[in-house]
This record gives sequence, C-alpha cells and structure tokens, in this order.
Amino acid sequence: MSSKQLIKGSLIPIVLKLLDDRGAMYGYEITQHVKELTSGELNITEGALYPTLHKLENQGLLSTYLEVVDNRARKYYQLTKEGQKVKTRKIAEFQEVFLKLQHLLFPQLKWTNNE
Amino acid sequence: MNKLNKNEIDYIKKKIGQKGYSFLDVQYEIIDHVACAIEELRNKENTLSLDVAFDKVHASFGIFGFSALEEGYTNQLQKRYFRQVLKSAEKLLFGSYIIISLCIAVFLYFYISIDFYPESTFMLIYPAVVILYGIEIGRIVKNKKYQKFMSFRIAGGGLGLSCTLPHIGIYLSKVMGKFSPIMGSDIAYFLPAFLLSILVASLYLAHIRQVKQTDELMALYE
Repeated sequence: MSSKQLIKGSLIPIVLKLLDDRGAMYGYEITQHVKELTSGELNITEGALYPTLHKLENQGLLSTYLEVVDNRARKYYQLTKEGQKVKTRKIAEFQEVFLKLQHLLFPQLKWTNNE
Repeated sequence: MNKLNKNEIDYIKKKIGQKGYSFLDVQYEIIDHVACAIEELRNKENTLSLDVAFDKVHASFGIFGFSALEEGYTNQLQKRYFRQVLKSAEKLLFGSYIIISLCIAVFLYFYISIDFYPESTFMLIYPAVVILYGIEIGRIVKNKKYQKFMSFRIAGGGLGLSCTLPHIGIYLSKVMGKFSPIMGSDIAYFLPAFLLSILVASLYLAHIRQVKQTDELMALYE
C-alpha cells in the first residue's frame, strides 16, 4: 500500500514527466494514466492533483487551453518552455533524494545512478 | 465507451450547482472530470443511473467534495488578476500605455499649479472611480450573465478596491502637507496623486482584460 504523503510529495515530478512524455493532457487523463502505468497501485486523488496543476500553472510551468469535447469544455494542460527546463531539474532532484534515502534506509543495497 | 449526451451533461451541471457551486465557469471546471468518471463507471456497470453514478463520483472526491477544484480555480483567477494589474502598471509607466500616464501627469500638475488647495488633487480620484464603476455597472445591466461567472466577480472585486483609494488619498493629503515645506507643495501632492491615479488605471485595465477573458469563456461555454 502506497503512502499518501509520499505520493503527494512526488506529484510535481510525476506531472511534469507525464506532460513532457505525452504532450497535452487533461486532469482525468492524468489520474487514469498514472493508475494504468502502476497497475492500480498509485491512485492520485483529485484533491491532490488539481491543486498541483494550478500551482504549476501559477508558477508559469504549465499552460492551459480549452477544447469542446463530448458536449463539454475540456481543459488541457501542457508544459511551457520554462516547465520543460524545470522538469529535468525536478526529476534530477527527486532521483538524488531517492538515492540518499535508499542509502540511509537500505545501506546493504549498492544501487547507483548508473544502474 | 458510451459518452454522455448534452442532456446528461446539463443534468450533471445542475447537480453540481445544487452542491453549492453556482458560478458557471466553476461548474465547467468541475464537469469534465466528473463526466469522465461517470462515463467510466457506467461503462463498467451500464445499469447504473446517472444520479447514483454522480453520487459515487462525488463521494470519491473526499469530504471536501469539489471544493479543491473550486478553490484552485478561484486562487488561479485572483493570481491572474493580480499579475494583470502589475502588467498594466508596467505598461502605463514604461510601456505602450505611457501616453495615458503622461496625460494624467500633465493634467495633475496643471491642476496643482492653479489650485489654491493642492490637497484637493486627491479628491479628483472620486469622480474617476465613480465613472469607471458606472461603466461596469452598465455592463452588468446590459448582460446579466456576467454575474454568473467567477472570473467577472474576481475582476469586480479588484475594481471595488479602487473605491477605497480616494479615502487613502485624503489621508495622504494630510501626511503630504507635512512634507510640503521640504519638497515644495507641488511635488509633495503631485507624486502620491499620480501614483494613486496609476493604481486606479491599472486596476481598471486589469478589470477590462478579465472581462474580455470572461467573454471568451461565455462564447466557449454557450
């Protein structure tokens, strides 16, 4: 069972990575895609996702556009140029923290960046 | 997957409204996610009624329901409005609207130089605010749909702030009176009056920008 706090802390790099890989996505699509990729293990709630998306948009890392689809307006999120630069940095930061935690909690494992 | 038809979407919009989210743009922020979730539920259980599906999706949003979406959207609108005020001030002082600032500056300086009571310069902000507010009230009367949009409400709140500026101006005129022997009364009254005027103009320009964005939302949603 995945911890909600751990997931919440990882949400920004997850969102940035997904949008970089897939281009524009809408909110529901993001939650479903994460669920699919993790075989249902990771469930991003709307209460966690949308504040993150709004925060990233306010920071200028995401832009949005509206499209009428299936009788309703759908808001798509996509990375800005600034968002693309920040995405690389955030994922590198996350990886660094992850490796340090791994070293701290599981010192017997000898994984490195390159493996 | 069976998609919801227009009547079903309208029904969901009504249900969202019944949960207390009365602004149309807030409803549209919520509706796509809810509609997608309902479509998926009904795809798995095609006998599920729209009411039951809606209740299940609403429950999945947690104890705060759709308020995370509403709060996020409102915060975003407020931050966008604030950025637009700053952008307008920048354009007025250094950019494409500098001609407006120059006209205000010339008018204020001319007024101070001929008026025996330069403190009254701040009182000029009153009629300016009344005129601008009057224009916006006229806009609402002409098209009542504006009141149904949160984006218009946020902009109106910002413009409402400009109603407090004349009072700040009166207070400032008393303060500047103390500096007038040092700076000269023309400069002592001119600078704050000019800056307050730029602030009123920035709030109004940001308001106009937000109204235009509300018009775009109205066109898209209707």
